[in-house]
Amino acid sequence: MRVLQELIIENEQQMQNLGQRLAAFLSKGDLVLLNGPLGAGKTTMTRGIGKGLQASGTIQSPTFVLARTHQTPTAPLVHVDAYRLGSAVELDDLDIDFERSIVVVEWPRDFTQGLSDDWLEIEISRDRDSDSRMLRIKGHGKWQKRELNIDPGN
Amino acid sequence: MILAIDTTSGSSAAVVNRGEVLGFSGFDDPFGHAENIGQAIESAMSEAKVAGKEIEAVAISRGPASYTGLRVGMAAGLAFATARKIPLLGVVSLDAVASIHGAGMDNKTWLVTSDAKRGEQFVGVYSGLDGNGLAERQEQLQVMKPEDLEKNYGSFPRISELCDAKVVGIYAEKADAAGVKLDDLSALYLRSPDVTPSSQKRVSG
Repeated sequence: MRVLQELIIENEQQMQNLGQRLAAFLSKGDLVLLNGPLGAGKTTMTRGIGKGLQASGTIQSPTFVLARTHQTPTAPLVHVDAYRLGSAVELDDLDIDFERSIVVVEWPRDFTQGLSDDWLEIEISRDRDSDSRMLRIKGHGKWQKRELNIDPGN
Repeated sequence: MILAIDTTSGSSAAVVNRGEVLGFSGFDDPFGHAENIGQAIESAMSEAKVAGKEIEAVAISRGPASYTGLRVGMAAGLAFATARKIPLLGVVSLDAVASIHGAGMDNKTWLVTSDAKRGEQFVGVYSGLDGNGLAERQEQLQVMKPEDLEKNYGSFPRISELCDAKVVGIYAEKADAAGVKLDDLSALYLRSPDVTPSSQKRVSG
């Protein structure tokens, strides 16, 4: 694992921008894990990734459907909310096509272990005193060799 | 004459009569079972030039395999058998592969493996074919990590042919004729889903 970038996000627009710009680095077979408390902005970031990938449909928290697939001009974007999953087996039961999709997983815990050698992990933490978010983007496997320097704009 | 259905990896259907495959249609795609299985059944039956009423039994793969794909094939088979009021035969896919592809193994011990995802393998251990040409499974089916597989069974020959509806159909016909009970119709996921209470996430407010 290697930390690729750390940054502070001040508002929802920046969070979405970050996702949108991150999307340029993503292609078929990529796995992105989003960790952070409720309301941290995981779905907002995914919405940005969807925008960047020109994904169809509205990206919203997939808590009840568990996983939602959005078509894009390249590979399908699969947005997973693992919050309600009780184990890795239940994630397997969704039969997600990891190899041919870009998969974003909220609340992954250790359920994605063994699914892929390479993944991006984004930790979002909230600042107690302000509304800003601290982000740490970590690369595993082949992602350790990549450089990220994303400007989230204003 | 039986209709066999397999969705343990891709989706396929076959019409088998007295050991002969009269019609077969398969999709290799490991996804899209629900989209493909109807087409596979229709194509297999049209290639065999048989009507639904000529089918005397339906054989389905019970796995081991992953949840969604497996259930699609089992549900399709159940629907066909129920509508036609004919018997439904449940086949363990590794037993079918062992019996059809294991000919020539004599009395050696050998393995049949298939992909269980996350780097693990489904494993069946077999020893010889009986007089009816059916492979005899020695132990319960297992899910194993590659290193455990190597440690425990590294020296045994291994068959890792994918299961398909031809194999299921030929095996089911043989086994049924030999009096093997194929009345267990439960799906084999091996890693059975843990039953846990759902977490208490507030979704609004």
